[in-house]
Amino acid sequence: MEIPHKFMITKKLLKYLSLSSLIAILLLSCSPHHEQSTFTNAGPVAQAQSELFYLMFWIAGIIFVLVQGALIFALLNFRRKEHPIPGSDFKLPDIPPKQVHGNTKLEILWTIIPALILVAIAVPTVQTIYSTYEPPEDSDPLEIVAMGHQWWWEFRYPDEGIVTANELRVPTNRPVKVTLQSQDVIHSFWIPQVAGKKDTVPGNTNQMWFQVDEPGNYSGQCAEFCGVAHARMRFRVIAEDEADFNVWLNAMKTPPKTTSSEGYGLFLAHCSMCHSIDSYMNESYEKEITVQDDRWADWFHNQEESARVSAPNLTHLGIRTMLAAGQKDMTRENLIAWIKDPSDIKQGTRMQSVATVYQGGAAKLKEHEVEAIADYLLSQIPDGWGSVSTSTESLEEAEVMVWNTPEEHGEYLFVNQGCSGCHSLNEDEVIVGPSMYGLIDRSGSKVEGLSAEEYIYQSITYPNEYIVDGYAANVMPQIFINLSEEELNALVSYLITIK
Amino acid sequence: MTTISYPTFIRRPNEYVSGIWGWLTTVDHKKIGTMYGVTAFLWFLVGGIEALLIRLQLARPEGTILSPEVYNQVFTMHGTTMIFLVVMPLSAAFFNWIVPLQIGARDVAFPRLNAFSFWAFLFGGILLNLSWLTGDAPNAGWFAYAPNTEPQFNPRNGVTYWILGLQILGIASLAAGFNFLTTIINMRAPGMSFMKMPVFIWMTAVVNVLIVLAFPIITVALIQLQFDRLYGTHFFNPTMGGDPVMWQHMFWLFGHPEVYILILPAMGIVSEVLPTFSRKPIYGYSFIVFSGIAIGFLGWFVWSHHMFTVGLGPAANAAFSVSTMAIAIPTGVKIFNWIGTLWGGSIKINTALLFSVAFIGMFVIGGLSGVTHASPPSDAQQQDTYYVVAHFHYVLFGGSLLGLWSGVYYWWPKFTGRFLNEKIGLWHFGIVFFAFNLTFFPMHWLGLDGMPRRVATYPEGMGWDISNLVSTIGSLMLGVGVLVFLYNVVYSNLRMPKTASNDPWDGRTLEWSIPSPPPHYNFDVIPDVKYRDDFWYTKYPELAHNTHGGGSDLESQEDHDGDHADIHMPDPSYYPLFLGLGLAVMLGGFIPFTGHWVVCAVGLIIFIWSFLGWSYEPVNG
Repeated sequence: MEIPHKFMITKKLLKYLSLSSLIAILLLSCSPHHEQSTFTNAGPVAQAQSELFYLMFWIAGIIFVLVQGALIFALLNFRRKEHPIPGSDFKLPDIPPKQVHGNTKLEILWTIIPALILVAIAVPTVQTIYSTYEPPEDSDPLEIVAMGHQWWWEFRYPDEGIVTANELRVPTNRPVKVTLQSQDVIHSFWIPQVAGKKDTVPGNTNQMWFQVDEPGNYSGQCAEFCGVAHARMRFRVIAEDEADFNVWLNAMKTPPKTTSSEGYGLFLAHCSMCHSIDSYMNESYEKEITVQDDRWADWFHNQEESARVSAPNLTHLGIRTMLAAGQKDMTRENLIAWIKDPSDIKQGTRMQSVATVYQGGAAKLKEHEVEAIADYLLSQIPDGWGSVSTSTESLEEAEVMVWNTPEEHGEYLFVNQGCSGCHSLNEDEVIVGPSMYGLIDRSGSKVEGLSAEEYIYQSITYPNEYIVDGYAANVMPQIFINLSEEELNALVSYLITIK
Repeated sequence: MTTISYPTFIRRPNEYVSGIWGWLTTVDHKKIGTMYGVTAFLWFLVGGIEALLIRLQLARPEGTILSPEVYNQVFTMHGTTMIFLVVMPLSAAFFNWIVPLQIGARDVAFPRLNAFSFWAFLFGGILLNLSWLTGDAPNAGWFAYAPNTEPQFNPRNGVTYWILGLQILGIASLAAGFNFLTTIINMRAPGMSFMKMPVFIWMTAVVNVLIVLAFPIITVALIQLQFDRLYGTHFFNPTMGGDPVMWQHMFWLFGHPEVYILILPAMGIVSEVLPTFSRKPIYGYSFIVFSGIAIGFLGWFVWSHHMFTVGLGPAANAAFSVSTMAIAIPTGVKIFNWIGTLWGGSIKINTALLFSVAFIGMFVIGGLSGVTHASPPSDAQQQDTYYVVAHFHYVLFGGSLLGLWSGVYYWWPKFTGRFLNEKIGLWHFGIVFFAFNLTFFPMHWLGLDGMPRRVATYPEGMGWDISNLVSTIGSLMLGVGVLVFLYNVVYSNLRMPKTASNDPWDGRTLEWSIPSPPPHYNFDVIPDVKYRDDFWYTKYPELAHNTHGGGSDLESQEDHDGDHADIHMPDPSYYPLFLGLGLAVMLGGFIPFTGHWVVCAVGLIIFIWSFLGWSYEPVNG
């Protein structure tokens, strides 16, 4: 018999459907490690959004059962009872069914009932749209700026003057008001357990807010397709109680324990064009924003030649828990792997395509140089920070060095402050910046009224004011102004000896 | 009287062109419909392979089958292909085949324009896919959000291929849209007033109104984007004062009506299949028709629900939320009326009917999940996650494709004179239905579990592994289901005898009154229509007394001359093919490869030459 066979298929499918939804519910409810589940609500915004979903889910569930039930009932109950007509291929029912064309009252009824159900959904929807739009009026929200970049997150605390990246620290039980911006393409800021997403749109400023109830780590991710490394654009929210959060705020304005090492020079030479590391200093906040904009504009307007692009702020990197926008745990091993060949971890990253040190693939650094940079970065821990870090113990205190002459001191600085990464000592050799060969002969005539020594001094401290023809502005780090008077003078006296 | 001498370019062939040239020059709506169907099915295989690549990449965390760049190209082309090269042209195949047959016409209003639509569609699709050969397929998603498509972020040619390919496909759709509207308005058989038209014709009319109004919007947006990319304008470049959100508004102002362009044809098909196999008229004809019109109309006021997280503000979000929910009302009416059609019927369960019933079941799931993201706060968690992927696959695969498959099984005997094999058909249905749910149902909880869409991979330990693996297994089974269908088509064409009578299903509408397959001229005699479901009441006059929309002038039946030598049919023409080719070559010549202006000029010459030839072509060969 043909018909029962078909009927069995339908029955099997029914069975499957109910089974699969059962499995679905089990999978959802049993597994504890769903760090981006929208069903685990860690704050009032996610809670409100969830409640609305549950309301609709149950209404939809009832409608689903009724409609599918009616459909299947009709299908099974009103099957054609066929009788073959002798001598013909046709099989006809004995009696044609009643030719019902409709029932206006019934149809009006099933137009009105859905309309009423939708009103029941629309009212709380509109209420929740407004209630989740702004933080409660009587609250004192922490204001932060979240900027989407291809493919990492920049977090700014304008009131505290702090800039950090890929790891957002917030206090618990206090609303956080987020201003959302983007420099490049559209991204979307999303912490599933804490709040639904909102886009960061270049040229538009958006806002949202959230609040975290319990201390802990919460996983965040870019939700708007933003190019090749979109899947690798994650971040972490670390929620702490107010006291711990304040410790962190203070720490971010405290200098690191170690400021100088072999790695520091290498960092300055190869990394500092794009990455700031000293944003613990006073007034560094405004500077960082300006510099970041410069880096961005540099890349945007001259992609072929620009040696820099906006990049994560690395201040106090040693206390971050993850690297490369939430890709790996922050360990010495992972950091070394990342520095060596970033594309291996995040294909498409601008770090590799832009920075001079990566021209042609992996970093053109020796093994020990990469390690030195990694150790230096991991040593960036605010003085007095309590947490344990595996890397810092291996670092030795900087040796106390004695120089016989200022020139000798200057030579040391030239290498260890990273100058030699870009400036050659050989005639006519250009690494990134101009060669230092024969500096004394030409410096005196560059600017009217400045002696050679004064000119060199000025161009180290304010490099953008003294750009040599044929070289781009904003390439040389503007951080040497922080060197001491003695160090600057030593550097100048060394530089004028190069012939 | 002055004699005008027309320039002759290529002699217009007469109607007896046979073989391959018969297909290349045809203006017959049935042959064009077949070409649309076959071509769209081939693109469906391409889009399906792209889908399988996506699923294989995502089967396990940290997948390495595709690089992120290639993955982005594959998902972009999967979406673009399935929408513009599969579902729309499959619908067009049905419009072509069925519209003239159901309204009692011998062809569409503009037969050569109809052929041009097909050729433009074919060449547009080829241009789009040529990008694979350059290694630079479009990589910005089918939605192509600026500024990710601006030259600073997307300097290679992929997106330009996408722009120009879509431009050609848009021209094809616009030409077809005007053609079918004119056909439906002007060429109905005498007596077939609007309210006596079959529901499929109504849905076709609504779809083509949407096409005619929606495609100009994307055309303008694409031109702006092309200028941004090639000629240094800044419509969507925020750094230079442009507005990327404007792209989103224009894209979705087109894109949302496009969703109804994709689903309404399937709704029309289901509204034909259910009454036939229930032996009952469609329940609540006017409610079904007006809810179709209401969906088409309201579809213009909901586009920003694709943009709830863009930051348009609470007032805009609230307004678009309410308008979106309003669309659920006419959609619900349709579903209730379909069930009403089945209710109390004499239901013949076969492959065509099962696909239609499955359409309703799956579309209900897609519709209900749709309501959950019509609510912006709830959508804030769902937007851009796999939950949305699940939702629109339930609507576009579980909806459109199952509906279209139902139409294939239903009308196949009319198309070819042969039935598709029922036994293989049931296997086809069973596998596809099971595999479809296995593939897409898990995506609901993947999305709610926080998995974003358009990610080339995902980390371990997120709790997404099992669901993704299940989904991939389902997709492979879905591939098997498609192969079973392909086997059925081949088997039925080679092994099934030509046994289909004029009216194998005891049908209701005019196409069942003529032979299977229909003759070149369709109708010996243009029928006089008295009733909605006219053919049914011709067969069963005793059922006609309680008919709504019945005519009273039963006496006015005229005697028609049955001599078909007098039937005038348009002759074949070469020009639609060349005009389509010229258009594609010309627009393809805007893609900045070396020597592209030469290609563009060659295309322009072909275009102008065929345009003039077309204009001066005599009526008869």
